[in-house]
Amino acid sequence: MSDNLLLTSLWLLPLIGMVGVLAVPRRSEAAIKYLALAATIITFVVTLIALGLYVGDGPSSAPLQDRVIHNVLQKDGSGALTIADESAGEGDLVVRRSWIPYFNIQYYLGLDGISLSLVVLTGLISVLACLASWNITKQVKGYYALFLLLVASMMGVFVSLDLFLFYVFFEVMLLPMYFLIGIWGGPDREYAAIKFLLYTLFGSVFILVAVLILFFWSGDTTGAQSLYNATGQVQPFTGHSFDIVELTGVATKTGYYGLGIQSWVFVLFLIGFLIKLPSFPFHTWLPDAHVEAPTPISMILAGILLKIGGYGLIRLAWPLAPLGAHYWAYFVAALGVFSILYGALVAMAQTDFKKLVAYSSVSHMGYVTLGLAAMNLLTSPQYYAYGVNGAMFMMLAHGITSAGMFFLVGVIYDRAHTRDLNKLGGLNNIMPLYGAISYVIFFGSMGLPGLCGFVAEFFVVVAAFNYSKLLAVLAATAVVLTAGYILWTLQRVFLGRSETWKGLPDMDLREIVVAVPLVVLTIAMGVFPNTLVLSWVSPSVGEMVNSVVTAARELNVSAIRTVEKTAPRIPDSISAPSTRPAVASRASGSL
Amino acid sequence: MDPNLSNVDFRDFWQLAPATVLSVWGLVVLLADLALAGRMSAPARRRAIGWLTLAGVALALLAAAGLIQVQQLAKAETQGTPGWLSPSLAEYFSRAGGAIFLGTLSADLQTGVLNVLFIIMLGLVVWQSMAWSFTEDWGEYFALVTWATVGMMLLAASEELVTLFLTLETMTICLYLTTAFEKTRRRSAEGGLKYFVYGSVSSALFLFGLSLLYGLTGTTQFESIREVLASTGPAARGLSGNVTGATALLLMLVGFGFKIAAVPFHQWAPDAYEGAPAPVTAWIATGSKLASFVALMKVFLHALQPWSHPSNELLGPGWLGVIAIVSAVTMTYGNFAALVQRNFKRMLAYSSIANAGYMLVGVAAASVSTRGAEAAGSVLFYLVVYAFANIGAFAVAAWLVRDKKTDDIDDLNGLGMQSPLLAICILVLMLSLIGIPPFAGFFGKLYMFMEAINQQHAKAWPTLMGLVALGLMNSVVSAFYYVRVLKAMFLREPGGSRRLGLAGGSIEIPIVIGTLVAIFFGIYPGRLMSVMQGAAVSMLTTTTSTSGGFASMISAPSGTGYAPLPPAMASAPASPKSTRLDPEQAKKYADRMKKAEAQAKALASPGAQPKNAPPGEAKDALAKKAEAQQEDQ
Repeated sequence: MSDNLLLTSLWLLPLIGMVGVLAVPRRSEAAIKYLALAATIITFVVTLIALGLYVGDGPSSAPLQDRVIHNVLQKDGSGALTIADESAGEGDLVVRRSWIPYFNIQYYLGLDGISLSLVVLTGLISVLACLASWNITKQVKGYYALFLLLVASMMGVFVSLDLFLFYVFFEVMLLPMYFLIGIWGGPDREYAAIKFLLYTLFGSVFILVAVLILFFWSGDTTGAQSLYNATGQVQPFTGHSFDIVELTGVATKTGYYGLGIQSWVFVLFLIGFLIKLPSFPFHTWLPDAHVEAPTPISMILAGILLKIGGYGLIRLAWPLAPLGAHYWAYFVAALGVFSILYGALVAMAQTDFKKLVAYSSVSHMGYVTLGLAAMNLLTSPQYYAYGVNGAMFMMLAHGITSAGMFFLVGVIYDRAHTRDLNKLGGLNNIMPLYGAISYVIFFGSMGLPGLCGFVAEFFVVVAAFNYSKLLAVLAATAVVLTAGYILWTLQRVFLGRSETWKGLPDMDLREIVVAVPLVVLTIAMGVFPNTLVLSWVSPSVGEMVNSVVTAARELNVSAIRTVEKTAPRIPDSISAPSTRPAVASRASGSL
Repeated sequence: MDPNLSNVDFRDFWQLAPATVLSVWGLVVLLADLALAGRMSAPARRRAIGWLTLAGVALALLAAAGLIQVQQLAKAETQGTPGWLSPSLAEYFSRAGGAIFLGTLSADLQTGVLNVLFIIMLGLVVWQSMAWSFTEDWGEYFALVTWATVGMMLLAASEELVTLFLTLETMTICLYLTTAFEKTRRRSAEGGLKYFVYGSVSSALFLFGLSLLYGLTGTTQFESIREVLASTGPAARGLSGNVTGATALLLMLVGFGFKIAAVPFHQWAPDAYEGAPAPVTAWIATGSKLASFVALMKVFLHALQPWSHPSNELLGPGWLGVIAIVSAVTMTYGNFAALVQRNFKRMLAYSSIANAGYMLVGVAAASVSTRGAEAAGSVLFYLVVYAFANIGAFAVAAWLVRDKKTDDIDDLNGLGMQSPLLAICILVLMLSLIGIPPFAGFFGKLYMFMEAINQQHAKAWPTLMGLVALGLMNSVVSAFYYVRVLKAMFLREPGGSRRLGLAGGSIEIPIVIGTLVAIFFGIYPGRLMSVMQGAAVSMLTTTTSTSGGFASMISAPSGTGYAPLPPAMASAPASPKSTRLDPEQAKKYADRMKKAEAQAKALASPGAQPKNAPPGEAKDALAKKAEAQQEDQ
C-alpha cells in the first residue's frame, strides 16, 4: 500500500462513509448505523496497518526528519511544485504534494510515534463511540454523517505536517461538534454549543496568528538552511514555509527565530491549545459542553478532542518555539499544577456525575502541561524526556479512561435518567457487572498503581521533582485529592443500599462490547506500558526532547549562563537513571 | 479643437461591445414591456421580460468572452494578419491592450475579466428577480438593473476622473431607483430615499474633491496625476501644509466611503439593504461594491499612490493612516452592530460593512507593498468570493420574503429539516462568510491578510499586523451572528403560520452557484488567484493606448501648485528639512504674485479695461484677487 493511499485513506475513509450515509434513505436507520460502524471499523483497521508498518523494521522506523527528505518537492518550469521522486521514500509513512504553490502550501501528511499513537486512539474511540451511539433516535442520518465528518477531521489534524493543512482540519472539526452538541444535546444545548464554538474559534485565531508570524518572519539567516530541496544542495532558509518538520529544524537548530519572536509564537500557540486542552483560565466551556453533549460525543470530546490541544503543544508549541517555551516554562508548569489542583477541588464539589468527570479531565490535562513544561536543562535531559513521555502517556491513558467514564455515566443515565450523585446509590448490588467495570476504569483514572493512569502521573511527577520541588509536591498532593473525589463518587454511586433503583437492568451485550476494550487497555497499559506504548512512542518523543533541549541550551546561551553561575551542572553519569535505556541512549548520544 | 489631440479611433467601439449590448438591450426590454403591458398579467410579464433580459445577459456574456478571446488570439498571432479578422481590426487588436477613447477607459485583461464577472452576477440577480412579484413595472426594473451594470462595467474601466464620476452616477442613480421599486412597502421607499439623499450629498462632495484634484494637478488622467504628484520631489509631496490636497483627498474618501459603505459613511446601508427588494440589495452589496472598490483602488493605488505615505511614516501625512483607521473602525463597528440584528438583510448589511473593513486592509497593504499590484489581486479575489456568497445569501432573503412576507432570521427556523440540501448550501455560504476552511471565504481572507503581513515596510509592518490581528478577532465575532442563521435552520423547529414553500429554480440556482464557488475556490484557489493577480496588475500599471500614442493624448498639465519641475530641478536633491517652505514653491508663488500685480496694474489703467465688463467692478475684483493671493503667500 503506497504511503499516499494509506495516509489519505485515514481521513478520507470516514468522509466516504459520510457520503455513503447521506446517500442512504432516511427511513433505513439500521443501514445507516451499520454503514457508519463499518466505516469507523475500516478506518481503525487502517490505523492498525499503519501501526504495524511503523513498528516493523521498514523505512518508516527512522526519525521523521530523516524520512521526509526522501519525499522531495521541486519547482518545475512554471514555478509549480511537483514531486520529484517518491520511490526512495516508499513505505516511510510520509506523503507530500503541492497544493497551493503561491504560498508554498502542501498536502503534506506523515506519521511518527506521537501522532500515530493518537491516530490509533482516535480509530479505537471512534469505533466505540459509534457503537455507543446505537440508541440515538433523533435524525439518525444527520447524526452519523456529522459523526463521521468529525472523525475525518480529527484524523486529518493528527496526520498533517503542513501548518495550513493542520489549521484547515482543526477548523473543520468545529462545525460537526457544534451541531452534534447543538442538536442532540441536553436541555441547555444551544448555549453549550455556541460557547464551545466561540471559545475554539477564538483559540484558533491565536494559532493562526502564530502560524502567520512563523511564515512571514524574516530573521537572522546565518546558518539557517532550508532542510529539504530537490538537488540535495543546502539552500538558505528565508521563511515562507508551512512545513512543520522544516520549521522545527530551523527553530531548534538555528537562530533564525530569535528569543523575542519565539516567546510571542509560543504564547500564541499556548493560548490557542490551552483553550482546546483545556487548562485553567480557559476551561469553562468544557463542563458545559460535556454536560449537554450526548454520551458518545462526550466520549469523543474527552477521549480525542482534548488530546488535540495536547498534540498541538507537543507538535507545535514546544518544537517550533523552544526558546520561548524555555522562557515561559516555569509559568506554564505552575499553570499546569494549578489546573491539576483546581480541577480536582472543583470536581470534588460537583453533584452532577458528568460535570465531575469533566472537571477531572481539566485536572488530568494539567499533568500534560506540567510534563511538557518541566524543562530542567541543567541536569540530564532525560528527566525532561520523562516529563514529555508522561504527558504523552497521560493523553493516551486519559483518552481511554475518560472515554470509559463518560460512557459509564451515559449507561446509568439511560437507565436512571439522572446524573445527580446524591440520588444515585447502591448500584453495586443492582448492576454488579456495571460496578466491576466502573471500578477498574475509575481506578485507572485515579492513578492506582498497575493501571494506566499511574504510569503517566509517575513520569510527570518524577520530571517535575527534578524541575521544581515545590511544584512536584503540589502535583503529588493532587493525587490525594483525585483519590478523594473518585473514591467518594464510587461510594455515592455504588455502595450502600437503594430501593429506588431496584430492577435496573445490568449492561447489555452492546454496552459490554464497548466497555471491555477500554477495561482491557486500562489494565494492559498499566502493566505493560513499555511493550504496548512507550517502545514505539518514546523514540519520537526523544527526538522532540532532544531538539528542544539542544535548541534551548545552545541558542539560549545567555539565559543558561546566568543560571549556571548559581547551579553547577550535574554530570550525566550521576544523574542518569537506568530505567529507560531507549531514551537515555538517544538523549546522551546527542548531547 | 486642440490640434495636438488625435481623433477618436472608431475601432475602440469594438472594445465596448459588452456594455453596448447591455445598454441597447435595456431599451429592447423597455419596449417589449410596453408592447406586452396590456396583454399579459404582471407575473406573466415578469417571467417573459425576465427571460428576455437573461437572453440579453447571455448575449453580453458572449460578447465579453468573445472580446477576450479575440484579444488573446490577435496578440498570439505574430505573423501576418489572421484571416478571420479584417486587416484593420487585426492590426488594432494585435497591439497591446490599454486605454481607449483618448485614454478615458481601459480595455485590458482587468476590464475583460471584470466584465465577465459583472455579467455573470447580473445574470444571477436577474434570475433571482424572477422569483416573486415585488413590482408591476418589470420593463423599467430590468432595464434599470441592466443599465446599472453598464455603469459598473464602465466605472471599473474608467481611467480618468470625469469618466469615473459619470459612470459612478450612472450606476448609483439606477440603484437609487430600483431600491425604491417595491412601491407597496413603505420601507422600500424609505430605503430608496435615504440612499438617494446620502448618495447625492456624497456625490457632490466627491465631485468637489475631484475638481480640487484637477485644480492641483491640471489633469484628470490617473496616470498623469500620478506623474505630477510623483514628480514634485519628496519634500513637496504629502499633505502637511497642503490644505487643498488634503481636502481633495478626504472629500474623495467620503465619496468612496459612501459607495463601499465604510464607517462613518455607512448609515444608509442598513436601511437601504433592508428596504430594497432582495435582488436589488444583492446587486448593491456585490456589483456596486466590486465596481466601487476597483475604482477606489485605481484612484488611490494608482493616481494618488505618491500621497500614500510620503514621509515614509504610516501615520504621517498621507492617506495610508486614514485608510488604516477607517478600516479598523469599519470592521469592528460592522461586526458588533451585526450582533444585535434580527432581520436577515439588515444583518447582511452590517456584515457587508464589516467586509468593506477587511478589504481596506488589503488596500492599505497594497499601497505600501513593493509589488502592490499582486497584493491588490488579493482584494479582487476576496471581492469575487464575497460577491458570489452574498448573491446566494440574498437569494435566501428573497425566498423568505416571497413565502413569509418577512425576512427575519427566525423565519429560517427548521429549514434544515424541510429542505436539507438547500440548508446545507446556505450553511456553506455562511461558513464561507465567517471564514472557516476549507471554503473560499477563508482562503480569500487569509490571502488578503497574508499579503498584508508580507510587506517588508518596516514602519508599516506593526500596524498592518495589528490590523490583521483585529481582522481575525473580528471574524470570531462575526461567527456569532452567522451561526445564528445556522442555529435557526438546524437547531429550531419550524414555527409560524406561514411555511416556506419549494424554492424553485430562481432561488435555488443563485444559492447553489454561490455554494459551488465557495467550495471550489476554497480547495483550488490557485487558478482564480492568478487570474485576479493578472487583472490587478493590468489595473494598476500604466496602460499603453491601442489608438495612437497614449502620452500625446494627455494634455500637458497646466496646473498651479503642482506643475512638474524642469528635469534639472526635479533631479536636484531636495533639502530634507524644507517641508514647510520649499524654495521652488516659494519662487513659484513669487512669480505668480508678480504676474498678478502686473495684471492688476494693467487693468487699473483705464485704457486696458475689457469692454464687456463694468470698469469699477472688474477692477475691484482683480484687486481683491491680488490681495488674496498676497495673503495666500
